[in-house]
Amino acid sequence: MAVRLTELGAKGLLLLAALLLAFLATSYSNLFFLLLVFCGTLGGLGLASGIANLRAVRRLELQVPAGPAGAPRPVRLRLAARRSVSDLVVTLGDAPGLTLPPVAHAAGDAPTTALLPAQPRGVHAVGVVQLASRYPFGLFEVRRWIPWPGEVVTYPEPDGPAAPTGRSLDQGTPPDPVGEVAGLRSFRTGDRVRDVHWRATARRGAPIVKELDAAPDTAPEIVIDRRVEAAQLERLLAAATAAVLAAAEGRGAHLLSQGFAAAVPAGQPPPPAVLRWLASAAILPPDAPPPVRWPQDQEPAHA
Amino acid sequence: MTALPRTVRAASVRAGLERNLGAVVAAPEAVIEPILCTLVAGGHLLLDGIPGIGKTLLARTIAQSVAGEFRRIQFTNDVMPGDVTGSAVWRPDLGRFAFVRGPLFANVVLADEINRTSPRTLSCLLEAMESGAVSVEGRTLELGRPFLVLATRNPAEFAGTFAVPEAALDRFLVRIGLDYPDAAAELALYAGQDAEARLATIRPVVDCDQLLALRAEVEAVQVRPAVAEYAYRLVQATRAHPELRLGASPRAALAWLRAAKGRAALDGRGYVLPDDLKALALPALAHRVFRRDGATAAPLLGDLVGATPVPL
Amino acid sequence: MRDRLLPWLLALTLIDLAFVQATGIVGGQDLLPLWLLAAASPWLRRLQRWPLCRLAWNAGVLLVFTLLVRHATTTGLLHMLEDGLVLAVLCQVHLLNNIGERQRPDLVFFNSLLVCFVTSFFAPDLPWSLLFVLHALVLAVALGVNVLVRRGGVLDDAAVRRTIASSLRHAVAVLVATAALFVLLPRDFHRQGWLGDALAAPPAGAAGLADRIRLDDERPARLGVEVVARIAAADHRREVPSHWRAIVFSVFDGATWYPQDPSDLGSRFASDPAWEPQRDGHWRRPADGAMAAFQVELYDRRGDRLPVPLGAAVLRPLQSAGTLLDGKSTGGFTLVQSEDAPAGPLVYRVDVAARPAAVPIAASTRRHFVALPERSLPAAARALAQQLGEAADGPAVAAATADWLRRHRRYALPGEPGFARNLGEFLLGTGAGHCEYFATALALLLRLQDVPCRVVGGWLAHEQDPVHGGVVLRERDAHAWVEVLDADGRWSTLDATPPHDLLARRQLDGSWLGSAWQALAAAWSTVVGFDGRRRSEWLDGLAALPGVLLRALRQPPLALAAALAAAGWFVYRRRRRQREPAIAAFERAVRAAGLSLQGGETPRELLRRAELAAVGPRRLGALRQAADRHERLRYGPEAPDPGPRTSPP
Repeated sequence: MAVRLTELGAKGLLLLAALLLAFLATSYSNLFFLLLVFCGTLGGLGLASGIANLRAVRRLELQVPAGPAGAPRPVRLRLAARRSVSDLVVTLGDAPGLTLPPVAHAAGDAPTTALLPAQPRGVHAVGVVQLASRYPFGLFEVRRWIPWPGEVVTYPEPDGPAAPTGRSLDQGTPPDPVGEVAGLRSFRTGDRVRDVHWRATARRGAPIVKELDAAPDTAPEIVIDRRVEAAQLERLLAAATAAVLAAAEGRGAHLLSQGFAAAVPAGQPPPPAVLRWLASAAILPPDAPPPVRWPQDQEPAHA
Repeated sequence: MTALPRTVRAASVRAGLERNLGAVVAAPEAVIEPILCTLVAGGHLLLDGIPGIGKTLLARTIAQSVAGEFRRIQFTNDVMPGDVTGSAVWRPDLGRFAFVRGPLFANVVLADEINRTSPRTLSCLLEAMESGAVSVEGRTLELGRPFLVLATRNPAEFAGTFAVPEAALDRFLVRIGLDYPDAAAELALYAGQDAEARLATIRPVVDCDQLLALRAEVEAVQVRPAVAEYAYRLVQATRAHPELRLGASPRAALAWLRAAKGRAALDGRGYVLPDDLKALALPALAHRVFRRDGATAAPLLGDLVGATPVPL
Repeated sequence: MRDRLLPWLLALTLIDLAFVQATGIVGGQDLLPLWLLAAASPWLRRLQRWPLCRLAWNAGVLLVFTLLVRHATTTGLLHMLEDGLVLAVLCQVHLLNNIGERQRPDLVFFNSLLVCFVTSFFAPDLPWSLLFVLHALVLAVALGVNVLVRRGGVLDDAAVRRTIASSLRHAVAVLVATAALFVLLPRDFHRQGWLGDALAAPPAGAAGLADRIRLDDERPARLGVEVVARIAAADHRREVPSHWRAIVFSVFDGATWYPQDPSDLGSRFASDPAWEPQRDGHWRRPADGAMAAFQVELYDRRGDRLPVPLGAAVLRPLQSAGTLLDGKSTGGFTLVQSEDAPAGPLVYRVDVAARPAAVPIAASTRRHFVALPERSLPAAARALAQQLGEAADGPAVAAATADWLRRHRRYALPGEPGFARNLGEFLLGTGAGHCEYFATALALLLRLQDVPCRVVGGWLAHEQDPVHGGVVLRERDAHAWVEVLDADGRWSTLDATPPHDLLARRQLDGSWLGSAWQALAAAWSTVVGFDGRRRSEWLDGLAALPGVLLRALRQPPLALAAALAAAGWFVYRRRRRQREPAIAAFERAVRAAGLSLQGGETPRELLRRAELAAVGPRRLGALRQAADRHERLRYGPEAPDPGPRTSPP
């Protein structure tokens, strides 16, 4: 935990010093003394209260979904605190660009949603989350760091005819069912994740899947050759992202590039590994091997 | 199975069961509701009552309402465990012993007059009720899923009966005492169709898979701290009551809460209310607490339910 | 966003104006434009969008600023401070109207604190203290809202309300901590400071007793609240005499009154009945009428004189070790203290008769009390004396003159607007004056009409002491009046100072509001007059508090009451902790429906009972709503856990 004076606090400290000087220079006066004590107490209690404010935080839960570059995305924030925490500014890591808008009052255990500002494409590893607060008088800023081993995945801004623009993935509408729902049963190894009946799973505490009539799998294949210029790769990735997002809402797809192969299942959000790859993909030298197509009879593992 | 919302499905099962029960036996709501709760919460049911008031008919109606395998065991003092679980018999045609499954290998088992059988056979039944499996000749065999025992007992007869021990009673999620029907119901009974004929018209309203899915949903029904506190208060009150020799055990409280979850699910709720607990306090607890004088604890329990404050 | 903060900045500015107004050193009419401009700031701020308006506003501020600076430099130091204060509040109003993207409110906070500091020197009275408390509350809220506003983000009413509530709690905590530290922190109460008088404000003429009265002293009076004495009547039904004399002035040279000197009269006891020392240490002199006894605790011995009423007949020192008393020719006492006189008040008992005994007055003595300064007597005095002499005659002339002055001359303290620059202005009525002016004017007018009289300095006893009982004399109660010599050689008190004006500065009427005000003022005076002695008293009291409480708890009724109170508090806390808003709302709705939850009844059962009972539809609706909400929040499902990644703190 660290404390620093804010601009207002620094000015206030200067004023207090000047007043103290005047107090010492002149003969003793009760009211002058009282007012000095008042100013000192205002600062001291403000500091103590500010520290106690952040100390009340016991745990911080953050859900940062993968989001497209150039668009803000909602971040779920759940604070386990002994009491309400005021004027909270959360920064992921130490980059100011990853600062969430301030939360005026966060009640203990109540989840809130904040918009993370638009980020460039990439995977930003975050080791700690910084909490900062100027509560209660704005004279001091108290900061506290909480370990949060996570990353902010920003995939390319989708650019293509089928791109669902400006929408975060976790807001996707439920897909149309493929095939007929035949019944419910316990999860067995090998069952598809998209067939999990989440509501029943949540109630029972054990995975329950829907039994569906088999649907034909005619997923297209997206192949990205990364032996290109950087700008061209960006365009390719943007187009690939649009295609992946469309495929996820449609019939699914297979994404293939040098050293990477994953399936995009239909009817559910694209797998995190696919989005992470789209966020982190870099160009390759021209002498790199071409993307390898997988054999027709071998299905890639679901990511 | 279609993915209908739980509330509708539970409600439709309830309506169907109520329709079936209403068509065959004239049982009041206070009797039917605990039965339904037991069915969806996954427990076993004990029907107490004098002969001739339709215990068996009621049990058969329930059994027929579930589209599963139904067996009936008429207990007498010469019924042996092997008669219940099944036994190995010599098959000359095969030239070896083969295991012949007893009537317990079904989804719904009607155990008629359980107090007529010997403790040995009863304990065999109890083990099956407890674990959903039987052990025969060193092998453990799974019983049907779901497995529901509907037992009847005739407390008025003493000749040729065995006392059912407390531990045995604890295996039943709910015990329902049946009494003479009220005048209107009885008159309607006289004027109506033959019971067997009516029973023949009963159609199953829920199959085994549906019942299992329903039970999974009942498991997910939440019990918030205030409600749990109410259960605890009442259970504590039974333990502290001077006229009770044995108060409700934690297992009794858990069974009570399970039944209450069933009621909540049937009501289309994902959470238990103190009202659920109150409604099922007597059926779920009365056979699990014992008075010093040996009389039934139901009236006393009723007083306690009426006096224990509900946490807001 | 900023609109959330502006009302609080406006409140701060208005409090600053009230601070300056309460000092009384700036005329109300001078501050009125600032009040209006501050109050109109919500509208004026909108005008700032137009460059022409902004230009006009800035030019106006600059003009006023120039005028103030010019005024300050061309008048005395006192006016410079006045102008400084006006400038400070003008600055506040200007800032208030310019708060925007570039102008942050920081300066408003600091300027407001400065105004609070400076005004504490001018008017450390109760109104200042009340304004200070208000200021502290508003400042804390303004700072709290400023944090919210500066951060940006979503600001809804609920967030602002919570911030205000939390800031108010903090402000109260700060005030309590300040009070505790004020008592606890050790310091040198007599410290003179590095720069001493050089930087200090002009020395205010402290209201108090002096060995001469100078009418040309224009320094602003500081109405000190230091307790001089406490007086209690032996019989509580008896009223404490109002005028307690300490020093008598009989010679006036046109600007200054000098004490009555026995050498001027030829005899030590030429004018008043002589005090006779008795064997047992008390003093006695003849007097007429029924006697009443009063006990006086004199804390301030700097005056070297004992306050006693005119009719004092017996004086018994009760606690006067190391002090030598001397009955004076003026009817009063002087004290001489030895080096080793113990600390603590001088306690004495004085028996007061209805009036002093008559004394045969020699003609020379009589002449002494009608003597006038020939050279420097204001011309207005003679004209006025003549005018008044024609209106009344004989013995009534004294009362008539005093009455006339009381009705036709205004009361003011030095430094206040309209204060007379000299006695002539006061007599003419162009300037107001304080008690010394009234006493001097009355004495001169009486002497001009050949009525023998003298000016008396002493204390006006009027402030009931709500803590100790009786009355309390403070420094600011120092007063001057006139004693008139009757034809039979008996002195009587005549006070021309308008009592309403005089006491308005010092007390309110006897209503409950007045009593409360007085009690508050007395409490505040302990803060202003806090000194080392009082601090050690407080600390001793605090140290002894546990013992006192323990002793008190040994009394069975008190112990029982304390135990009950503790149990009640415990139960209350416990209930309160358990009381969730949904429960409280449900219980309220149940009460509103005229029902009560019976033992073992669930909310749904109660609702069914309410539906059957004759509960009105509105109440029933409210009850249903409250029950639904209660069920949802207390029994209903918890929010599904999204299953986030969790990090340990």
